[in-house]
Amino acid sequence: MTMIIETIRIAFRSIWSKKIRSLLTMLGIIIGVFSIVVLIGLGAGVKEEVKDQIESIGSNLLFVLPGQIDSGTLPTGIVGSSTITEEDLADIESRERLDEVTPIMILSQPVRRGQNFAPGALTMGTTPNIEESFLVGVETDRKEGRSLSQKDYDTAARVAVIFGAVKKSLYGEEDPIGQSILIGKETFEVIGWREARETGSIISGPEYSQAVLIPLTTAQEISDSNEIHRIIITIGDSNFVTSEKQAIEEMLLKNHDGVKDFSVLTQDDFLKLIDSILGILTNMLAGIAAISLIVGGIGIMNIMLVSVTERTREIGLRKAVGASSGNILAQFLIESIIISFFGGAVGLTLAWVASFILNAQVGIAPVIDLQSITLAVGFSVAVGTFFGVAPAVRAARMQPINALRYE
Amino acid sequence: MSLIHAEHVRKVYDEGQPYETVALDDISLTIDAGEFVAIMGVSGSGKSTLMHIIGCLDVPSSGHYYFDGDDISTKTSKQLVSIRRTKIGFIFQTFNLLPRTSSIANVELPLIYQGIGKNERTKRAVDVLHQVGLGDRVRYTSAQLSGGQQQRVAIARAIVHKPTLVLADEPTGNLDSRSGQEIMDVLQRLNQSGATVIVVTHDAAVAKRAQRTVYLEDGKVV
Ligand SMILES: Nc1ncnc2c1ncn2[C@@H]1O[C@H](COP(=O)(O)OP(=O)(O)O)[C@@H](O)[C@H]1O
Ligand SMILES: [Mg+2]
Repeated sequence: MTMIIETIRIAFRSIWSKKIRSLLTMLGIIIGVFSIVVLIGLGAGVKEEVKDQIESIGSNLLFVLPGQIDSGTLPTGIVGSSTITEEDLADIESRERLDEVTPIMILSQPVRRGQNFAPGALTMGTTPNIEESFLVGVETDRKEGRSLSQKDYDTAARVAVIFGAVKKSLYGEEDPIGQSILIGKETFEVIGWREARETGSIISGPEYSQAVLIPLTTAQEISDSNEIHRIIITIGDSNFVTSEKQAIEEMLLKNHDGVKDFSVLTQDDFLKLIDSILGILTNMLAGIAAISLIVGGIGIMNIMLVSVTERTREIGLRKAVGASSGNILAQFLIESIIISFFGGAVGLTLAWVASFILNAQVGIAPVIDLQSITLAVGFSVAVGTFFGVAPAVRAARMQPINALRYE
Repeated sequence: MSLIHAEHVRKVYDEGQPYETVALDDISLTIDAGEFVAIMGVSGSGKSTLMHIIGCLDVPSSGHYYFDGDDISTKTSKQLVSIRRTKIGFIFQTFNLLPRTSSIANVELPLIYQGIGKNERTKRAVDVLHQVGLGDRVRYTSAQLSGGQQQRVAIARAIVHKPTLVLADEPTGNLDSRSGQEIMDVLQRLNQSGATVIVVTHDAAVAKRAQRTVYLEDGKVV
């Protein structure tokens, strides 16, 4: 026992006597642990955030999308030629249990006011009920003017409701209501604008604040197509979400001659989807970060090998006065472990500091929990042990007479 | 019984290689406990090699070496360590103190490997440093000490664990004659207090302080 404490003391003294070098040696481990903890934490933090967002839109929603979306694959074919038909929409609308059915057609035409473009604007042709159904979950800070009306819909009126980012880039602080904008070549009158709350969400946030809502009939007219890119369904009683999902799936499958080129997703499905996408992403990033930890370990091995050579005489002397090979092995191994352990601790501390900064700046707090702490510290100690063995064995194997003669 | 007994000891470095060196050739030698012996010879005559074997730092290529009755040739390196740890103290021409390390820490080194606790180590190290006349220099690092003082720290380190045998390989070789005399005084007192002392030197004045002198030439006793 005293021997172990003594060995630790010797190792500390030797690390301390070469502070700068020890710090530089630690750097690899510091960076490795820092990036692992931040990346894993960020993955978990983003997951939480997105989960909150998806949950806030309510659990009584169903989304019908073109293309097949499973957990683990990214949704494709959301824009472009859609597989969802008017027949599908009509069939869904005929179902009893559904409160609101809101089809959306996405137009990929530029939105501008004179020569002034709204870069990220997303024009959606939809039914007047959109603000009561789907967008009801989106918190709005300001709501000016009116919404799309049934009359707008029936007459395919050239009217638009614009959202925050679009309003800002086209009108700044001006009042847009009553003014006209161009969507493609068509002139529209702005009848209302909304300020959606800054949500910072990766998925839904930008979409809302970039939205331009126009009647579906108008969209069909100016694009000369009947494509439907999304159908959003509100179900009054959320107990029926699962059974309605199944029924709608069967119905659409029949319409599509048994080819499942569409997806019906619940809020839960979205959560799972996000979960698996972020999980894969996080693991990938953490894997890359782990490589930097290994590079850090090689750095330790390198410096320790140099140190063993430099201290050949010391090793010879220690052996001459009674140190066993085991004592010498322990001394150098413990030195490597201490360096990597402190590297891990510093990296963890920096990650913790970074989590506060990220939270303040970006609004996403990396989750640093007991699991990531144990992982980081355990990993760095393991790296130190693994890469410390070779130098330590080399030191332990030195013959005292050769070591004492070393110049 | 004699403390040191060598029988036809031969030491060949790089044996079997075209550049092999016969450092010791058929050495037979006996030294009794309590003796003060000088070993003399020109550079390369095998003095250090003989010291290493006597001090159990190395084993003979052939022949037998008995230390305190034990046949060293048959020992494992682990057993050699434990003999050195308890019974032998080394003093080198180049002092071999740990750099940036206080006198106390240097002196207590052998005690660390005996598993002796911090307090007792410090006490014994300070005691021995007083004995060699460095009672006022216990916190100094080697860079703050003169050559003679450094060698006295090294002597303190060699005797702190009360070894039966103290080996000094040209201890005065790097010192002026006055510091050399002081070192020899310390070794003489050490011998008078009961330790067996063997000093390697090529200085006749130093050898004169010993009770007897062994002369080496080309690895042979002459
Ligand atoms: N580790 C070694 N490897 C090879 N040759 C050595 C080694 N140690 C000593 N020698 C050789 O053995 C001979 C005796 O060396 P040494 O015992 O150091 O002599 P001295 O101490 O009397 O000067 C020399 O020729 C030296 O070159
Ligand atoms: Mg020599």
